[in-house]
Amino acid sequence: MPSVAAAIAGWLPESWLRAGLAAHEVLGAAAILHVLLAVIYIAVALRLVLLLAHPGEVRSHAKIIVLIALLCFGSLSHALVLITAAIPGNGGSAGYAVAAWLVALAGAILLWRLLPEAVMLPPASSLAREMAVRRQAEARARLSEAQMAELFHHLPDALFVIRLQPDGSFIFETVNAAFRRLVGEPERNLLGARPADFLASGTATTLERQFAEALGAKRTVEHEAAVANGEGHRIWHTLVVPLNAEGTDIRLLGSIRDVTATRRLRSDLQEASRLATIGSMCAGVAHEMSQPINVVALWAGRARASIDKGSLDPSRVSRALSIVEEQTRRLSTLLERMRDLTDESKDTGNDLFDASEAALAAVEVVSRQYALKGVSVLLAARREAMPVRGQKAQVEQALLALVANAADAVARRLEDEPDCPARVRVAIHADVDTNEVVLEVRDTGGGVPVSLQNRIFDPFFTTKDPGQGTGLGLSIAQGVARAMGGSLSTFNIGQGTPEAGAVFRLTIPLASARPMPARKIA
Amino acid sequence: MAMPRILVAEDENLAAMAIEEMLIDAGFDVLLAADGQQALEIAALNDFDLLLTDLRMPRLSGNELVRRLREGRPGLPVIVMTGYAPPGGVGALQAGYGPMVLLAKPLDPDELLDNIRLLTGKRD
Repeated sequence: MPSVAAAIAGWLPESWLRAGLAAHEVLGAAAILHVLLAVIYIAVALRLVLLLAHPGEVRSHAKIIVLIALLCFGSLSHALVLITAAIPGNGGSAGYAVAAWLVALAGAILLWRLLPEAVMLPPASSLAREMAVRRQAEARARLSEAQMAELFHHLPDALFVIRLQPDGSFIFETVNAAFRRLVGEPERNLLGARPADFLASGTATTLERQFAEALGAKRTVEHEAAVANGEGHRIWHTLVVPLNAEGTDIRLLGSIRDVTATRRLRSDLQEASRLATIGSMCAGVAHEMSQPINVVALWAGRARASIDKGSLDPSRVSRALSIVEEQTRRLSTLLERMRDLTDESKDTGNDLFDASEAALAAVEVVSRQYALKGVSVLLAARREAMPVRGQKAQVEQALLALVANAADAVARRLEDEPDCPARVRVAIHADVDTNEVVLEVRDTGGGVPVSLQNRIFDPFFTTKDPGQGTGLGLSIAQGVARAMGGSLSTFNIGQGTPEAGAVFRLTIPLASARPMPARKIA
Repeated sequence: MAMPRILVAEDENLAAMAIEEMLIDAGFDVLLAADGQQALEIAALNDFDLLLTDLRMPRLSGNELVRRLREGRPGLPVIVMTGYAPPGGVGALQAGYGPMVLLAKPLDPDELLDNIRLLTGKRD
């Protein structure tokens, strides 16, 4: 090592050597600090190089020049320390050297901290671009806000924003044109007003209750209520949305739609449909009742004639009267069925039973009867429990009506087409997705003509010959389905093929997702 | 004078029986048919003086029955019994020139007899 030092000493100019020796004498033990400062500056310079080498960043050249200048200044101040120490006569001014050293250190630390941020700063041109983008975004936001405001003010629904006051009351903060029209007040009477200030007290109370409900539940609340205003009773559909249910500045956004006309139209339609049903029902009732009443009239006439003639034959009178009695029973049964029909809400019972068992029982009852007419009735049931709630007998009755309807359709088609397929297929399965039991009765009877599809569920509507059907079966089946919370619908299938027919689909909600307890085996 | 003979087409068995008894009591001869088709078959093999028929019947309706019988006997007297008045009244049923009476169900037995006597010219 001494030989290396001697070689370096021999290579350096003599004046440098002297200066170095002088500095060594002045600073002595502080030499290690110089080494430290030099290392720091080398690190700062390296970091600058690394940052500049990092790709993909926009840099400010001016900043980089300033940074290099600062780096040079820092290095210079370090050199200054050495130089001042080396100048003869200044050897004693250690204070000056320490000050210069501290400046150099501070410069290095500052540079280290500022470096990454300064280097990454975008250049002036990109700054201008960014400003332009930001201004465009602001303009878009302003436009969007203006559009929203336009929308708010011109929507046909009455809109409003209300604010919760510290005393728990609500005041209107913003209202749109439709709202002003709805309540018939100018804006100045509405802004800052409470609901009760311009609405009937009942209406105001209803609204305030809805506001409180929406705030309490922190969700959208919808209501439809009849309100009284200057124009009489109206039906308002209101919707209230909490904008910020938390915090101190609590607001709600609300909308009101006057649905009076729609509701009236709907009830008119219901009334028209009801009248049409009544008309269809009356025609059916007239037909169903005319036969037994005719028989009663004829046999009562026979009995009277027998008595009038004087040659009273007790056996003939008795026979006539028993026929009269029988026909009145027939009429009673008919009335009973009509009563069943009008009272859908009749106690449906709440027995838990297996719908597939009911289907099996119903199909067993009738399959032989229809087989004699050349119509085969088949049951396809999955072997799974299908618990439903209601009355088993009613489900059987509904299913029997559907099967009878299907078998009659097939029998009628057989008259015209003796070779057509003659099957009624009853399928039952539990649909776990919709949580209901689905009973489908599919026939090969050609299908229901589209023109009749709207009427076939009407009571007493029938296309069958006199005495062949009452027109009540489908109607009763629908009543049973509805009373149990289900539905009855129909669609045609296989049109244009020999298998053409109708499907009647009866659904009943499953009583529970769990399977029924296993039945005891006898 | 032979007893006038009435062809009765009525699908409701109990009504047909009462009418038959009533007509026999009143001195008429009766041919009974359970529907329009059977009535046509009976008419082809027997003489009769008046047709008493229901309108809605299986197989062959009263309407069609009247039309077919009047083709061969335009002057055949006909009494139609129905719960439903056909749209267009008697005119819609008329075929040929014979007398036609429409009686509404439920029937009044006396009115029925009076009309039958009138159309067959039978006196008590």
